[in-house]
Amino acid sequence: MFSRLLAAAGLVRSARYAAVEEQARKADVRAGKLNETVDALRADVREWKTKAGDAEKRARELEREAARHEQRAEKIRADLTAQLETERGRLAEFQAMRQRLSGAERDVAVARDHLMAIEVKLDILEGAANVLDGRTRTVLTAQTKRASGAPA
Amino acid sequence: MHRPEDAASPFLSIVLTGRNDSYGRDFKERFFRTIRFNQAELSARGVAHEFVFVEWAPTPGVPSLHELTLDAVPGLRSGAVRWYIADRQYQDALSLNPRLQYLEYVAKNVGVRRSHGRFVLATNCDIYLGRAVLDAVQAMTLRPRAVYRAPRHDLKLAVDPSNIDWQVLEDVRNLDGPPRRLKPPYLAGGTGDFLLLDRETFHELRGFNEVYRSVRAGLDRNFVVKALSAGLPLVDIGGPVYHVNHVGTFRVASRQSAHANAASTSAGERWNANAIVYQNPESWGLGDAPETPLGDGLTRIEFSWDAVPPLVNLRGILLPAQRSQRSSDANGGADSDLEVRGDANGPTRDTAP
Repeated sequence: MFSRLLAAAGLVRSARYAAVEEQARKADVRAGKLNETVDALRADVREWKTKAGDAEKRARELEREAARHEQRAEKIRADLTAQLETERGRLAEFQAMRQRLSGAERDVAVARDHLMAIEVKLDILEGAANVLDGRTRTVLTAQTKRASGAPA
Repeated sequence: MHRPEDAASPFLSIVLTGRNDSYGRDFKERFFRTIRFNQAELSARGVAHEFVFVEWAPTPGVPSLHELTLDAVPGLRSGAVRWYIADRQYQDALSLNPRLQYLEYVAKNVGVRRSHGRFVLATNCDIYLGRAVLDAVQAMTLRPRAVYRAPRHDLKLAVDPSNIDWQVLEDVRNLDGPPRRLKPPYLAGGTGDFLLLDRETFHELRGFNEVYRSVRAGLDRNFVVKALSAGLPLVDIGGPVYHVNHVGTFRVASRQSAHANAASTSAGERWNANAIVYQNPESWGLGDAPETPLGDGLTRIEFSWDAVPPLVNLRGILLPAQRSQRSSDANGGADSDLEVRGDANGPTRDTAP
């Protein structure tokens, strides 16, 4: 009843007033904290925006670099392909050369064998010639001695 | 061609050649000791065998080795040896090199040709047969158309040769150097000391090279090359033969003087026994020579120009069968293997143009 009368007069009890005042103070404190939070969030946002900008810039740089590398890789691939073709050509040449060398080695071996056989044959001929020479000399010496009347 | 009846054929003929000329000093004593040992071991094992000894071009005025041997080894009197004395004129008639005083492999051919055994061993007078060899001939496990080889183990000069038994032979401390092993492809190493194969194939091959009579060394290996070229395998018989070193042994003499055994010609120094083969005439081994039996297993081979092969027989020098590519690549062709093909009648390549 008393409260209603006070209210009718636009007044409140002191206790009520103190409570409301306390609530208002707390609300102020909360508002202050919220302001601080908002400020911090704004700072974060700014920071993230900066980072995002940097990242975007870096991404663009990386894209450009990737493109450069791709170009370079393409060039290397082309070079390697050309080199591979050259090496294949060289390998084919080498194999052909090796075959020729192998054939030449066989020819040399055969020639060496023939040479050895010829040397042996020459040796036989030389031996035979020496033997015949010796026999002929013996006979001729004996004949000469007989012809000259000398004792054999 | 001497073809004894099979029933009369011993299992093994051992072909030896020598003469009473004190080769390498005390030749006779070394020979007597060796043949006594081998005779005793073969007899103890019941191996039907004969020794075929060719006394080549004996020195005039010197007692024949024949009687000396029978006196020294009475066990040989029971028909265990057949002895051939080849007239001295054959040495002069056959020689293509006056510095060669002994045509050893022609002499061996004389014995191989006249062997009666199913298998013929061509060896030397101072070679002791080892256990593995004796086991193989006792068991008669040898197969035809294979050339058997055995490494030669040399015993030190210091070994007392008058007291040889198994203990001495098989004591590794007595070996002069590490034991030899047979080396492929030719299983070379003291080849002339042990070449064993069946008589029929030996005769098909017509023995050792007697076309090229200018050299002393390498003719044993040359026979192996011919055998390989004819498609015959080489087989290690499984154990060594033994040789007691003496003054004059090739290895000992080589150590003492690099030229101690240079009885060959300058051509002989460059002679490569792997490079050629040969085809002896049908009359190989003095097959056409007249013989005079003198009793007691002794036969004199009389001289006849009809038995002397031509002084020059260039068509008898041939190239071996084609060398295999693999070995040629690996060895530079210097000591390569041979493809095994052809038959025992001869190699497959002719040197004639």
